[in-house]
Amino acid sequence: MKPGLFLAALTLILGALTAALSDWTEPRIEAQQVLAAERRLLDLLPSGSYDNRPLQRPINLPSGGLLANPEPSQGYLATLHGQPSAVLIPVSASGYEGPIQLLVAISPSGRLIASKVLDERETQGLADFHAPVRRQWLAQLNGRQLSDSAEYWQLRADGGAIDQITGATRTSRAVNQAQQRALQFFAEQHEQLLRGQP
Amino acid sequence: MIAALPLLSLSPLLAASALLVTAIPVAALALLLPQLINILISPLRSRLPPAGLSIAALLFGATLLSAIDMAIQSHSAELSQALKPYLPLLLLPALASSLTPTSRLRWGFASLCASCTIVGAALLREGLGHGSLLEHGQWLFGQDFQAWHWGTGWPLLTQAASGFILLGLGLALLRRCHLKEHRPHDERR
Repeated sequence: MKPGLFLAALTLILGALTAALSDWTEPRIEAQQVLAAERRLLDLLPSGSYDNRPLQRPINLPSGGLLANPEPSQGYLATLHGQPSAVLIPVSASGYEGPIQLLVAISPSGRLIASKVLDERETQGLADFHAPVRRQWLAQLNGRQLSDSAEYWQLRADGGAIDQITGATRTSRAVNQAQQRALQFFAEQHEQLLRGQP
Repeated sequence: MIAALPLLSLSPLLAASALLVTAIPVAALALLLPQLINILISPLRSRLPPAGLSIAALLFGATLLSAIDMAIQSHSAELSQALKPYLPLLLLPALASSLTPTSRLRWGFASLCASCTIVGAALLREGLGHGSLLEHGQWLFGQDFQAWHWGTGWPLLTQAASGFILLGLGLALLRRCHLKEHRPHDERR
């Protein structure tokens, strides 16, 4: 067989093989993508604290306002045995290098369960929330609620009790204030949010 | 030209070494991909001219990488996302190994060195830079996996430039050892 013909045949065979493999793996890949999206948003909640699929019933939230999201966004209601166990609310903070997108989990009683950074442009290695040490800093704010004293909510640089991230006071303050705004939004809208309505 | 192709594998090696969880698959592929392409084109070496052999190697390499990419996507979407920029670049050294007349044993040794370098660099960069080991290990080992953390790290090591710094230090160390071995007796006195 001539080399040209051989290579054409090889291209067809390998192309068909790749197409067949792609067809075979497609459902599994899609399932993994859905699971990854759920993990990305729901790993804030303790395992066993919800038994619904919160992402399948999103709550539409407006842009601007207390949440300061640049575009309309979606919150999620987690339930356990049919009762609300947490509300997840996206909120924007104005960081040092640009906007920081946070997701905040709030209990029905208005207590901050946990929060995580979904998107950011902060300086890598200094103020980014990929590093475990800064994720631990974020975790130390868990359990707070609006009724806690002002000192309990403020950074040490502002006379409060929270140690700011070293070298990133502005980022720390922005994240701290965004969490408070999310709690305030929940306090104002909790009846609708706990019913899973905007 | 072909001899310079392995240099292009530096970018995936250095970039993926920020975390062990990305370094391990890239190191495994850097080791296995050239061997797999060599095995597949071996029966064609006597039948195809050099230009045809290059195309065949490219076809096999692209097919293998596509299959590996789909397998990774089926295993973990997050891992696939983290590896996306680097995997296709691994094809270049793999092709170079199949197209240059250097012996397979020598290429195998070079691949092994590259794999050890990336895992070693990842151990240092993640361990000392992030203060953790196998962060995001659940992408590879399942959702129950827990990474090890031991506090704050040295932020410089988390940056891409630290890959070059570590590589430079490693090369300097190798050079020093090599010079010591080959220095004549009378020079030492």
